[in-house]
Amino acid sequence: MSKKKVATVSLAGCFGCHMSFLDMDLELLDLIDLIQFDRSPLTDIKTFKHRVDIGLIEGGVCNDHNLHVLRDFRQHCDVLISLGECAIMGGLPAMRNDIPLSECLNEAYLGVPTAIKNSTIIPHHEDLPKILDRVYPCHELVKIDYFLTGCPPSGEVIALALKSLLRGDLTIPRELIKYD
Amino acid sequence: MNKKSVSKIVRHLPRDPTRLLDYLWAIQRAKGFISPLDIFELAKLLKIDESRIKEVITFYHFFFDKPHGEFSIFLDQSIIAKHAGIDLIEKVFEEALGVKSGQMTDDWQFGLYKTSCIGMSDQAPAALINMIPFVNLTTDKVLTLITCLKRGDELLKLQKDLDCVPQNTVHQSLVTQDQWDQDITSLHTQILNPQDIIQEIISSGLRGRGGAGFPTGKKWQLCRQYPGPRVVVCNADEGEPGTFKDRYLLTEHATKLFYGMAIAAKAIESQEAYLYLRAEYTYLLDHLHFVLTKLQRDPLIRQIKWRIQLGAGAYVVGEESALLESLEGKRGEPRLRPPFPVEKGYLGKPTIVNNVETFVLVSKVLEKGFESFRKWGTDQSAGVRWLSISGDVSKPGLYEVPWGIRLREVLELCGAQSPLMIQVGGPSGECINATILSELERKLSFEDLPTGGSFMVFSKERDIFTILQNFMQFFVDESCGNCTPCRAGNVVLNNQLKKVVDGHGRPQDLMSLTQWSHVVMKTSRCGLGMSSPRVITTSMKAFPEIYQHKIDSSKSSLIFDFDEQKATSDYDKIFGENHE
Ligand SMILES: Cc1cc2nc3c(=O)[nH]c(=O)nc-3n(C[C@H](O)[C@H](O)[C@H](O)COP(=O)(O)O)c2cc1C
Ligand code: SF4
Ligand code: FES
Repeated sequence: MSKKKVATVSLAGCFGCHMSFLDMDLELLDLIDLIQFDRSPLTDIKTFKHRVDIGLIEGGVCNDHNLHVLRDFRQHCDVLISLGECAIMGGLPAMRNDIPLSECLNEAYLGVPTAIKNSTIIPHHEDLPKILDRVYPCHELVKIDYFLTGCPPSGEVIALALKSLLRGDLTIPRELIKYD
Repeated sequence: MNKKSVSKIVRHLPRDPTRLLDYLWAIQRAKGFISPLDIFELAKLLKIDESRIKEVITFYHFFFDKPHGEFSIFLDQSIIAKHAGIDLIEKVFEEALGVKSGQMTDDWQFGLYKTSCIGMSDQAPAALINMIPFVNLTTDKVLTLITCLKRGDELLKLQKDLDCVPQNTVHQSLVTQDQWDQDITSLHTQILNPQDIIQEIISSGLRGRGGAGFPTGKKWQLCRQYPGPRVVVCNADEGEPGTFKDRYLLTEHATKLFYGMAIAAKAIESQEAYLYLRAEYTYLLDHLHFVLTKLQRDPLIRQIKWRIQLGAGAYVVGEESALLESLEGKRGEPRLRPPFPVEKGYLGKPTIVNNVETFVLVSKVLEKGFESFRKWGTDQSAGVRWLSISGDVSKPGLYEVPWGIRLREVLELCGAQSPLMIQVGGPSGECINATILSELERKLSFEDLPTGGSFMVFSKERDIFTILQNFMQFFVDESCGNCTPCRAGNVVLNNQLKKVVDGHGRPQDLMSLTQWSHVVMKTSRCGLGMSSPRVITTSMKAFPEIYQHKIDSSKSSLIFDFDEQKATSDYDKIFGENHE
């Protein structure tokens, strides 16, 4: 059986979910027998060259670049998974959703103690992505096939999810994803 | 504003936290709103925590913890009011006062706000000004009204002068018609003992008129099983949009209502009776007290301790256990059931809660005998019931009809104008496609189409989705927030409906709407969440084509429509379109 291709990306996330991936330790070696990483921060491949079997999305969508990447993933992946709280619900970044964007940027860049009057600016440039009015969960923008809960989901859960998915359907014992 | 101290204002009230709503009304009437200092003083006076008071103030629409204007104007947002032009009325108010809805004028004289259905759908558009209803509003009336109020005219006088006093237009009355004079000795000499009363009510087949249709006699019998003291409560919260028949019964048949309650009290051997009146009907309070005082001559009435409790604005309080919470001076959040009120109700005592109309009919059954009542209606739905008919009809108003009447017959009675859709039983009821002839043969009855009395007719000129979205918004606004499926689920449903209406829907969105509807219906705590998704499910059944019409199946079902330009417009505004 040829190895399945997996792509991953971090949108408006903290890379916590990707760290969790690395937390798999030896499990990762098992996994590497079954899958091959394609576009991912782990391989530093930045564009899709082929169709991919599974896409894992960390983080929600906070700017137009995130939006385009997410759509790109949807177009190239057979199965798309929202990985972690931020992808599923927006997570911490979504705390700004009730605050108008201008107020939010002012507070973050100009209202901080390190800001220097008349010299600190809010970074913006045509090469920088445009910030969206609020942070969107991935499933509001593209069809998401599975949701892996957790902040972040543990390495064990991610490994189990991938393995079970390769066998047919994604199943995870309830104890592993019951957090309260 | 008034500087009187709280203790002076509430001097006439017993030191009893269950009367908290009365306290808050008294303070608000005297001072315009309830300030942090008032809360502090009241907490000391009642020996309760301040948070206990704050949580109550913030629960109800009509309690204000901030100034709300010397004249607080609440515009009815029901779909009937919308169709009758309340949005235009709002604009006129806004322009004349120089404020936006939700704001107060700089001099604090006027505040302009919105509220759910105020029970005046037969006389829309309507508004409450300092809890006094002004019906049949027109732009001219609004302009005159504002001028006169600024000049210092009396609200009640203006209500009369401008022809804005609520009327009850009865188009058909079968059983309730005769007015009783205060002394109806003939009735209670017949009332022998509790068991006989209950037997009479059971034989009549009377079922509750508040919506759920629980057999009234059986409810009373159940209540009797639990040791007293027991309590009688009348539900006059009438919050279902499009309903106003209780308003009429409270105005014209209060005597029958109080006798009905007294008979119930006798049947369950209770000495305590409460009438819970929705805040929107504050204007009926004096009248009800007057009738009750007049009836005190009658020993049947006199032996009971009565209280009329004024609500403060919350649809969910119509749910019986929420009503009991509110009656106890708390937030009107539904209780977990069981135990049902017949076992543990007001302050833990076995309690029966019945609708206004139910009690009025109890009087009639005892007066005329159960046979004369049974001759109306169907097998499972005995007798008659009041309908509040509104919308696109030539004769909006009140109709007493026999159960089992066909929709077609109702439409003829009220003079429906090229009907497209009928909403039977309000937003939580059922949506009917009035262009399908077989549907019009359906019968109003517990067997087929139950209704709590709301009957709204919409003509072919109306947009169905506008109506449905108004209904969903109502549930979003009125969910008490106690349980997640209803608090969040109704928002989800509302957003998904909007997505479809805006043309961004995909085939799977319709499935998702259905699935979410099931989740909310099956997992909500009270009847609000259990029935709110019926807006979606029953309209999908009645008008599948309008949903299909909105769905573009040609587009990829994996990448959803998203208005990127809109989402980045804030950013563009801050930095300019081109990042210079
Ligand atoms: C959200 C909600 C609102 C309700 N509103 C009312 C109401 O305004 N008036 C009413 O009589 N019953 C209302 N009910 C029904 C009551 O819970 C209760 O069934 C009724 O008062 C019992 O009286 P009945 O047996 O005479 O109908 C409501 C129920 C729910 C779930
Ligand atoms: S269903 Fe809605 S209204 Fe009823 S208890 Fe739950 S949140 Fe409150
Ligand atoms: S980035 Fe993984 S949970 Fe937030």
